[in-house]
Amino acid sequence: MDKVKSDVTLEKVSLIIGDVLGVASRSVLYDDNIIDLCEDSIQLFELLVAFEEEFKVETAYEDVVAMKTVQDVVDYVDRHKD
Amino acid sequence: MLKIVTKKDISDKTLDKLLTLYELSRYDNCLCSKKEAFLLGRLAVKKVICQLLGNNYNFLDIEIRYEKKGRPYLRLFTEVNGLNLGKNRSSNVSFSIAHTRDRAVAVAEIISDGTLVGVDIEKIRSFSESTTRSFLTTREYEKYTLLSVADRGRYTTIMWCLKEAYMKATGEGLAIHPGKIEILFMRNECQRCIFLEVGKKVLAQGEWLEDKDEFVVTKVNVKFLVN
Repeated sequence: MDKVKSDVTLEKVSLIIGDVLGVASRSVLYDDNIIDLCEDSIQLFELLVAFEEEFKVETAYEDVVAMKTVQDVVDYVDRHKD
Repeated sequence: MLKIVTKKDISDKTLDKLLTLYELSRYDNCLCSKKEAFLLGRLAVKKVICQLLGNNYNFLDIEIRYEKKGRPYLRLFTEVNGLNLGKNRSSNVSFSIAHTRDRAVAVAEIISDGTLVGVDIEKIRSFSESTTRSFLTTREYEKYTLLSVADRGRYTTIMWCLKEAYMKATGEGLAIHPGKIEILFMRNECQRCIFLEVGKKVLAQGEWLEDKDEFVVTKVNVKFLVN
């Protein structure tokens, strides 16, 4: 069940990444490095803002910037949505 | 000192003349899409450091490494009286590198009073409304709303670049939320500003320039104040 929930979150995260960064959401993988996906720091910040808005999770900014991979984002969202 | 380089400054021979063995291994491990940016950044920073320290250094005498948290530091190859002393970490040079699209910029200064430097470069662009609201302070956003649509991209790009250069100078990067940094423009000095950060005692000044290709380059000097 947890894997199903994570996969649903991954799908949403992938759509956001695709929308903000202009990459195919289908190509986004759990172990993709967020910084490598971004062209520059503006894109990284736009991504972080988009994650906060979409998932409406109470995020400490330092937690958000500590996320390195897509897996980190999915885990964080799943933990804080409960 | 500040140096801007573009793709035109890179040739087939650049790798051999520019990168030490350590840097070459980092270059090889870069994603393909990031290799050019890596080279441009290295070229810019080595040019400016050579200029700063004098022409006794060449590119292979200078090595950029990274701390665990990702902050770059400088190692210089030193030789005294013909003796090779190996590479030693240089702590008296503050430097910063930035790149975007087909160009990179670097600054370097001798640290005399604890002042550190940061730099950024971006092409003037528009930002999404949510990003703008998030990275500008309330006062900065109010100023933004008074601008014409045509001027907003320029304003937000300058503000982002200044804050980015500030965050790099402090060594914090995006660990500081840019919305917690307030920029105050100096009335009688064109294209200069000071910074206020919530909870920090710093003396920080910034300046920027725009080139004919609509790139903004910002440079910030930061000094932490001790209680």
